[in-house]
Formats: sequence, structure tokens, C-alpha cells
Amino acid sequence: MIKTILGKIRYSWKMLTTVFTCFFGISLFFICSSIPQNFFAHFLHVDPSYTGGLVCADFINSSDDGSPLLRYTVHEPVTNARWQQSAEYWQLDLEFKDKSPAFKNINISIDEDFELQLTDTEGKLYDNSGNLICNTEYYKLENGSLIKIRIPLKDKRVQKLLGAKQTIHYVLLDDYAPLTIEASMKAHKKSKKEEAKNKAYIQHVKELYAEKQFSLMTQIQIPQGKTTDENLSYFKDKINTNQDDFVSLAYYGFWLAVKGGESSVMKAVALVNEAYTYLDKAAELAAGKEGEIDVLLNRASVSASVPEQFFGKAAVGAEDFMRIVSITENETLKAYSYVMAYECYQKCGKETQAILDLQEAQKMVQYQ
Amino acid sequence: MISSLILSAMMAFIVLFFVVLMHNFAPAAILYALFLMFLFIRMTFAENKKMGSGVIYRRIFQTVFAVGFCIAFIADLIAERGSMSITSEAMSNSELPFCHIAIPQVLVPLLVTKNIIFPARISGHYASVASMILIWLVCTLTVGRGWCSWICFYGGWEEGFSHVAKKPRIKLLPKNKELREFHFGFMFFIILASLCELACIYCEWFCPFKLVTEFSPVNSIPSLIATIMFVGLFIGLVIVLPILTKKRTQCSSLCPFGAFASLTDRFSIFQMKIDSDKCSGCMKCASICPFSAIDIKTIQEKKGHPEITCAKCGECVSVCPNKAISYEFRFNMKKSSCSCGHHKNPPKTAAVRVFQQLLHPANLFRFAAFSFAVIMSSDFMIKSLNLIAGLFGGRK
Repeated sequence: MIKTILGKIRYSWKMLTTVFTCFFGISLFFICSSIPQNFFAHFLHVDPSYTGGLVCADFINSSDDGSPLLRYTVHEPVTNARWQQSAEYWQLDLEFKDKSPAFKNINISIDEDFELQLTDTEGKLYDNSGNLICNTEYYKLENGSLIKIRIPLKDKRVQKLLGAKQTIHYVLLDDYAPLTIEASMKAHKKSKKEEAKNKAYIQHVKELYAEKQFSLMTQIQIPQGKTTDENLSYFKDKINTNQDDFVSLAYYGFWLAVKGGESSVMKAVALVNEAYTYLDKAAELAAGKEGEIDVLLNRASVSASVPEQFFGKAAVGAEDFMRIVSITENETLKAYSYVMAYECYQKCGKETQAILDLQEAQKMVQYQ
Repeated sequence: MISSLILSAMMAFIVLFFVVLMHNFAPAAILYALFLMFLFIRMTFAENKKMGSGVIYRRIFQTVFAVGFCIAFIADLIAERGSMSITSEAMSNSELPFCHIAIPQVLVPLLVTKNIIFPARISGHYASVASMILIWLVCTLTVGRGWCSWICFYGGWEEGFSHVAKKPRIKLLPKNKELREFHFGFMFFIILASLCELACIYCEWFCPFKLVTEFSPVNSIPSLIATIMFVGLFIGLVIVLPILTKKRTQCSSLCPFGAFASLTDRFSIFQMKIDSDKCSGCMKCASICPFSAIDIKTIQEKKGHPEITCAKCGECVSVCPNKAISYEFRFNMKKSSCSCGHHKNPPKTAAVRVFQQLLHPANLFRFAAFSFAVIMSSDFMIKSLNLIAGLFGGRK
């Protein structure tokens, strides 16, 4: 008797999970897939031989010296690489601040034994007497803002790099001030402490901003303690009175997105798409005018919050936050914008920009 | 009738969300949504009228998807790289799209080296490693190897070619067992070779679909050999043999993902069931099975289910004169004497009958597989529809 009841319960449970999985589970998985995907991605890495080798030195140029060079990365030498042009190579990356940067020549002196000469189209490696050792693999990526150099390690003179513990790179780009980078030739793991410290810092800036948020808004009286629908009708009335009231347009768009967040998935997509029509129109009308910060802040906040997989707005959000940085005088808002831009850039895979923004934020607001 | 209407309405929601809403009501999205709904409604109503008669709509979908996928994929490659050939830039920047066929080749090396031996993006891309592995995991737990016959964006080529001729010129039925043994043997060889070389060997040397997607430039003797091999395999296994045998020969003899999905299919919810009491042994199912999953022995020994390589395409259901083959829940297969299955209880009221029809394994399987197909295909198909419209001077 008990066995039969237990059997029926077990069967019912199996049926219930099966029915739920087939009717809703697959769709739900695709809707929420970015969450498990990001979690899963933390544990997966492409074999370093395909990606240029592990990073052993990473220099980010955050100074305002006018140099177009943003980042200089030295990788561990790679051996036995598959599917690559050279099975043994050593990769150096140069990332620039702008797309297609204007430079004539880059000379990189390595340990005073080698000189790497880069032009706009090719890279050549010479010894200290000026004799050509080899041509390098030269890849111009990301619309010219990233140059990857792969030095083949076939030549015996270059092979001594395989056993080196440290190399010193002296980077000379046209007439700009030279950079000296000491690079260990062994990769180090990213410090978890550093990551935790960054997380705590970001939280601190967000809290600081949340405390002062309302005092920053000067353009419009925001209705307080009202529901989303009440806010929507409040701003809708304002838009009906003046269709070019960009601040109200932005707030209306913002609240539409908030409503999207409170609605079913189906409705949410439609509401967020609708929200952007208002937010974009508001940003267009507000450009260069007083109140632009309010408008951009609304659009950027929505862009930072909506799922990147569906809407792909992280890059727009980061640009809006950077625009806020350039027009506001408020230090807290600047720091908050940098931190939010950091998160947006990370979402869309622009790691260098993200690191730079976090560094800038740390200059604005200190945190122990 | 009512159950078909309910299923169609539920599918309409999925199509509306993933195809129409996600593409902001673009004309191509609306057109594709209508096509999908036409297929699903016709399939569901046909199946409810006569079991197995809706199988033609699956064939149409898979063939159209395979062609549409290749159009969109090649167009993307040409826009990005100027040709279908893999560039050193794409390779050095880990930008090769990762497809499901690479999964069995990367899993064992992943366990050993903790690295993915494929130069693809890990996440944040439509063909990234994390997303494809997750999709495979969910697929394994739901439709299992049904992926090959319902969702696979390459399978449609063979599906299409295997229905060109009316009758098979070569009969593979007596060689089914050998074919399966070769398939699994080849998969283990590929996995082992990939582990030894720390590179995806099937992708490098064998994959015939490089002809309709991307391939390495021919600039050395090994690359020339690889090119001859993939062109030969495409012509032989994807075009000629499917026409001559009316079977999906590449899927059932070479594809390492197919063999791997067969092994992991035991974790899926659904399985095909052969009712030995109803079976008259006519062997029509064995003759038509495109995956060589039913042998003479399967029927003679009354195994009660097809062999391990079954891809749940439903072709056997459509030809069985005695309705002896059906979709079944795997948890019902284990205890064949179970009397608690809904289908064993005769419906007392119309409402119960509708409810039972809705929860019928065939309906649930078709709904799950078609949901997958809708979601996986929408981006590619809308892109290729826009491209086709552009070619004929229409609006993009």
C-alpha cells in the first residue's frame, strides 16, 4: 500500500518536472542563460598556446603624456602550439587609446640584445648590431587599436629568451617619452585579494553615491514614495504638456524600464525596447544642454542593468557614463560614473578600458 | 483537436518572444515566425490525426535551417574576413566559432589539462564555448540525441539529400551493426587523438561541413590533404551516399558528436518504444531509419526499443503499420509493467482526454525539440532572410 502511494508520488513528481521542463524549462534556460554562462565561463580557459601564452607582464599607461599607447602586454613564450603559424613563439601586445592610431615607428629594445621595429604594417626583429633576425607575425586587430606581435623562436639567437627569467623592454613610440617595462618571463596568477578589494571599493562608491543621489539631481522634482505606474503617469503628463521636455522623457523611459523589470519576460522585452525610444530621444534633445547629466544618468543606469545578452547596451552605457564624467564637476558622481563604466566595459569585454576607469575612480574616492 | 490548439498557442508564445519580440518586429522575423507556426500547427494537427504523419514538417524545418544557417554564417565570415578561409588574425584572437561537434573532442583534454583546446571565445558570443556546452547539457537532459534530427544546423543537408531519391540504391540495413561499431570506434579514436595532440583532430582533418562554413587556407601539403579530405567527405557522406542509401550517413558513421550524444542519451527524458506485442516484424521501420538504429535483430530479439544511435526523428513511427512504435518517457521504459502511466488509463471525460493528450510523451518531446529549434534558428534564419531580400532588391 505504502509502496504504491510512494510509487505514485514519485511518478507524479517525475511527470511534473518533465512537463515543466518541456513546456517552460527550455525557454527559461535561454532567457536566463547569461547567468550560468558567466558562472561557467569563470572555470573555462582557452589553452594559452592558442591565445598567445599566459600574461607575465601587463603595463597600463594611465598618464596624460599624450602617448597613444594604452597598454603593453608581455606573454610567456609558447612552445608546441597547434594550429598557429609558428609552433614556438613569443607574443607582445600593444593596445592604443584610439582606433587606427597615428604613429610612424615603434622601436622596442629588449634586454639591449634585440630591437623590434614596428611600422604600420609589419614588424621586424634585429640583433644589437642591426642585423635582421626574422620577420614577426603582425596582427592588427580591433580596428587597428590592438597590435599583436608574435616573434618566432626558430632562430637560435632568440631561443635564449625561453630560458630568461626577466626581460627589460624599452618602448619608444615616435617622439613620445619612452617607457621602460620590466617583465618577468613567468606568469603569475591573478590575486584573489586584489579582486576582493576591487569589489569592496565598487560597493563603497555605489553606497556613497546612493547617499548623495538626490542632492545631485537638480533639474527636476522627482516624485517620492510613488509607485512605478504613478511615476509613469506623472512623467507622461509632463511629456504631454511639452513633448521636448527631455528630462521628463528620460525619466519616463527610465520608469518604463523599471516597469519592465517588474513584469513578465515577454512584457519586459517590449517595455525595455519602448523605454529606449524615449531615452534615446531624450539624449538627442539634451546634448550639450543643462540637464544632460540627468538624461544620460537615466539611460546609462538602464543600460547597465538590462541583460547584456538580450539588449547589448553595456557599451552604450559605458559611453554615457564617460560623457557624464566629462561634463560633471561633482567628484562623487564622477567616481560613481567611472565605477559604473568599469562594470559596463567588463560586461562587453573591454578589459583595458575597464581597468583604466577603475584606476580613475580610485583617484577620485579613496577607500581603505 | 483542443490539445493541438493549446500546444500551438503555447508554441506561439515562444515564437512571439524569441523570434518576433527579440528582433523588434522586423519583417523578416514576422515572416519566419509565420513559417515556424505553420510548420508546428501542421505537425501537431497531423500527428493528432494520424501518429507519425507530421514527420515531414521536421524534415522541412531541418533542411531549411541548414541552408539558412550556412547563408547567414558565410555572410558573416565574408563581412568579417573577406572570405570563408580562417585567417591568422582570427586564430590569434581566439575568434573561431565553437560548434557542438567540437564538444566530445574538448571534454577529455579539458579534464586533463583544465584548458579548452580550441581557439574560440569562452563567453559573450553566439558561438562561445560556455554557451555551446551549456546548450548541449540542457539538450542532453531533455531531448537527448533528438538534437541530431531536430536541431542540428548541419544535419539538414543530409536530411534534404536523403529524400532526393524515391528508393534506396544501396541497402545498408545488413551493415547497421558494423556501421555503429565504426561510428563509436571512430569517436574514440578522435577523442584519443585530440587528447594526444591537444587539438581538435576531427575539426582539423575530417569535418565535411568546413565546405559550407569555414576552412583553413590551402598553403601547405597538410592543408591540401585536409582540404581534399573534407571536400571528399562532404561529397561522399553528405551528398552521394545519403541520396543512394536514403540514410544520414555522415551523422551515423562519422560525426563524433552524434556518437557522443548516443552515449549520453541515457540521461534524456525520452526514448522510442517498440511494442513487441503489436510488432508484426515487417521491418519497414528498420528500412526507413536514417540513423541505422533498428536492425533485424532489434525486432527479432524483441528488445522493445531501437539501438543506442536512435535520434528520435519519428520516421519509424510514421511507417509502422501497426502503430507499434511510439515516444515514451524513459522512466516508464524501465518498468514496462507499470500501470500508473497516463496513457494506460482510458479517459473518463473530455477534459481528462485533452489533459492526457497534452502530456503524451510524443507531444511533450515534439514541443521541447521544436522550442529548441525555434530558439537556435531564429537569429540565423532572420539574418539569411534579410540577405536574400537584399539580393532581390528588397528592404533589409
